[in-house]
Amino acid sequence: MRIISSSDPHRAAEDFWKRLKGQLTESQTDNGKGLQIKFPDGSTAVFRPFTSTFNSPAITLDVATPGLGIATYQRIHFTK
Amino acid sequence: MNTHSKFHLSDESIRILCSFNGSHWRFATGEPLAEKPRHYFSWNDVIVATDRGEFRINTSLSESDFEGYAEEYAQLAVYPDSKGLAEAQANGHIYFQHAGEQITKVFVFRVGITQIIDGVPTWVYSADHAVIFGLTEGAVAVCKTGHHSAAIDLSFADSVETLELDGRAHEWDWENELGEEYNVVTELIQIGETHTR
Repeated sequence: MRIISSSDPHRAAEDFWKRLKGQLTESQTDNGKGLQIKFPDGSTAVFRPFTSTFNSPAITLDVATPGLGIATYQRIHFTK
Repeated sequence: MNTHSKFHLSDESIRILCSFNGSHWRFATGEPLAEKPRHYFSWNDVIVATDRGEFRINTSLSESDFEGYAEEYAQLAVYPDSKGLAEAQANGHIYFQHAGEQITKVFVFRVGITQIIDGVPTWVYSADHAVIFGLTEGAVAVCKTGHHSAAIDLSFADSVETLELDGRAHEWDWENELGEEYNVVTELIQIGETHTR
């Protein structure tokens, strides 16, 4: 798990999501509580504005392509 | 040992899968992946059609705290329906590779991961990661894209042996702290077999 601290976690998370999403089309998660995007190799990212941690939105990244030398799963929490 | 956490297919899901053993493959659904030939994508459901009818392989996320904090893990399930098929048909997201071939074997690809800290096991995670269909001249895998994602990867290959199966232990086993290790066991468990003449 990674933590990104800022004075406004929700704004920081939304900015991060906007950059990550780029021109990709987002859709709602199955439970309606988040947004999700799919990359051309099948990697995915999910943005949850509200999580079980108070005032801490989260973005998860699942990288489908192995061997890139990066973590294939990351959960990033945005906190104050 | 602290905690064991299992994300296995239910008995009912396995019963449904076995009931299609020996049937003939028609098609499966998914979205094409531009960068991965013979792989298709779905956020939650892959519908498989055979000459005996359709079934739906689904993933959903469930929360567990076996790692010491709340996290979501993907759970595979099989349902005897074709929910979402009309939409997939309307979008042209139906693929007929290996149509007409018989399903001769059905497998579950199970991944077991044990976290070991300073030589002491702390938790065990065991999950059914994929459902594999052996066909008379090929194979199909319906696989979770990750242990923490509800997305599904559908892939075709010339045989079960040549399917690209990745247990994704590196979702944990990556940039470990000193004394942190993971023991990984993968199993291909056969749950149904039909002998062809």
